[in-house]
Amino acid sequence: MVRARVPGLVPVWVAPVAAVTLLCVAAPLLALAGRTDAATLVAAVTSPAARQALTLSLGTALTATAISCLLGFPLALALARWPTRLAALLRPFVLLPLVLPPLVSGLALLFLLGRRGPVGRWLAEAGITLPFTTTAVVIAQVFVAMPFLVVSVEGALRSKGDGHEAVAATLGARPTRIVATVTVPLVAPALRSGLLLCFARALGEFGATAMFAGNAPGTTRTMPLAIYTAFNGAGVDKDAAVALALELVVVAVLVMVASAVRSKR
Amino acid sequence: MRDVRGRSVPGRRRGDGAPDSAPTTETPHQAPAGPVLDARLVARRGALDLDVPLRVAAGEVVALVGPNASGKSTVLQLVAGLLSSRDGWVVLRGTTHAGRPPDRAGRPVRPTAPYRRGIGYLGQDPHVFGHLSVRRNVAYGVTGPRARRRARTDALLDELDLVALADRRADQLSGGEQARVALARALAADPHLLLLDEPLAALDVRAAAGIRTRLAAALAQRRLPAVLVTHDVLDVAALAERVIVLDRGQVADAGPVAGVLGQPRTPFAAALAAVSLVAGSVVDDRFVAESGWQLPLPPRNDPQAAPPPSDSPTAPDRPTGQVWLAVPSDALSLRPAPGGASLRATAGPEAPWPDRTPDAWTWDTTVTGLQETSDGLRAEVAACPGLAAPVARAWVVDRIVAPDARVRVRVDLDRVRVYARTPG
Repeated sequence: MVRARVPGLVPVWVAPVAAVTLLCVAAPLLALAGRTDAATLVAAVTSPAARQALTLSLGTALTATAISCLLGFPLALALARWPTRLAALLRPFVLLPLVLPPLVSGLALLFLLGRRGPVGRWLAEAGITLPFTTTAVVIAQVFVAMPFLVVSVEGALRSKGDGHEAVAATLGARPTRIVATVTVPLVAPALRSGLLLCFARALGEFGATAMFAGNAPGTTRTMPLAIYTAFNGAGVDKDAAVALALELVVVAVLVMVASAVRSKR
Repeated sequence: MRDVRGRSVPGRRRGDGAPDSAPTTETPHQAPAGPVLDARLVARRGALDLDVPLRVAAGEVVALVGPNASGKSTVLQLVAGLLSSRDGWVVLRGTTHAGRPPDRAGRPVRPTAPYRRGIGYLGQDPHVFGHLSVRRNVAYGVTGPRARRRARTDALLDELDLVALADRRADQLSGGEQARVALARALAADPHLLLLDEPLAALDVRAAAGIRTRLAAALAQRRLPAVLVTHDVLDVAALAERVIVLDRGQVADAGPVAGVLGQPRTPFAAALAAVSLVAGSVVDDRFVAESGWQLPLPPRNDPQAAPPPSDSPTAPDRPTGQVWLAVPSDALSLRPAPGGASLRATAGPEAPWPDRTPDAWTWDTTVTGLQETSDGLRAEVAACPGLAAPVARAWVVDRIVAPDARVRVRVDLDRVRVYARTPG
């Protein structure tokens, strides 16, 4: 394949600006890495509290991503295929969690599902308490992370059109079979990148989790909360926070690299 | 499992090149009485006000032609159930799939989903399922037990020469190969009716010719009825028995291919048939165009004068009153006029034609305009507006058609056709 670098298509000032931007992104992370040494890092990362937080983070983020996929794909399909005007009316509500401060999202969830909330009261009567449980962590993560998946998949569905689905229908396929065998494979790249964004957002989720699920070790203290606790907590040294933060960065990078490799195959 | 179309309906004409026998393993059933499709497609979409009656008999291929935005694709989408409308009706093999036909009582039927209609659809974009192999694309619409599915898929792969490609991913194929996959996939689902929405338009000339031949053979073998939307007279000639000309959502002309293209009554059909169509009247064995120019007509009862097709409603006698004059483009020619002062020497070796003879009429005139058509340039001339004579591109380059250039236009009188303007 010929890969020509044609002069005159990309402005010359793009390269220096891009380099500065990269530096701006990398510098804080390098500063973080320079703040600690290997011994502290190993000690902090292998501590039971850290392993507990990482396990909880990965578990809840994976669960939240799976739920986002199951709930978000149908929503994306509806927004892409329903009449344009209706979709335009509904889309802002889907995107709202993206623009709200996560703290507000947590507050909203608490008011809905808390003991005195309209739904929470009803759940409490049935003996179900959501706030400050691991389930609450997952709910908070789904709430803030799902829009990434919906936006990504809806865009792909719109740009691909429904020609393939129409052909599948004329071949006798029922709607559910069409979605499973034609629609999902058609938007698979967008779905994959949407899932990745969703997982990354869930993994880093802090504000809504802190508000709605609290910060109980083992049940709701995910990595971001553990970092916050280590940094702010009395008697705990800040090196542990740095080490945990680095660990989270490494996990995020690994997930992204793994996904990039998979999608190239 | 779907029923198989009957093959015992008489009176069907099919184009040349179709194999005689149908090598299928299925038992022929008796065809249901009446047309395969009886529909009236009524819809309002933007500027389009569509109202088209459409009947397709068993084994019949109907071509739907017309200018852009005349509603051809909308007709197909309404038939397939990919669009729904409150008005009109769609009856397939006796089952109402939308609306209420006039001969039935009760409330209009809400449009059924496309997957219930058993109608195949082949569009300009083959829409192959890129993530699947060619084999799994073809097998997509095949129903029944595993052994039958496999046998049917194999038969279709073989019929369309896809065996060598069977395990390739469909998105790795060329456009022509993808079109073959789409055709095999549509046929494998065993539809009662095939809708063809310019399936050859996006292909290059060679690939289109290949698919056209296969399509004609496949339709003939199965006696599969079809509705074909096209802009190409080759498709009409090779595939269709009947033509419907649409214009702004209404039927402008309809009938057998020979009639509609041989005696066109719409500018679109005339352009499709490469015919100059002029409105006028017959006065004393002369054609008088509405714009005033005249052309002598050969004597009556000359068998070559205006051969009406046997199934045409036009009487064999020369019509009188309001008529159409149809001049095939190859009955018209254009050369330098004798003694044309402004002609360049490079114009060509041809000597000017002799003056008017009993079987040819000429005018010495000037070119007023040029048209680009799908098979070459046409020149309009001052003497006989409405007639467009083929002109070689090289002549244009040589400025032979400069405004002051005198040219001689010649009409072969035994090729012109004159027929009544109101269909008999």
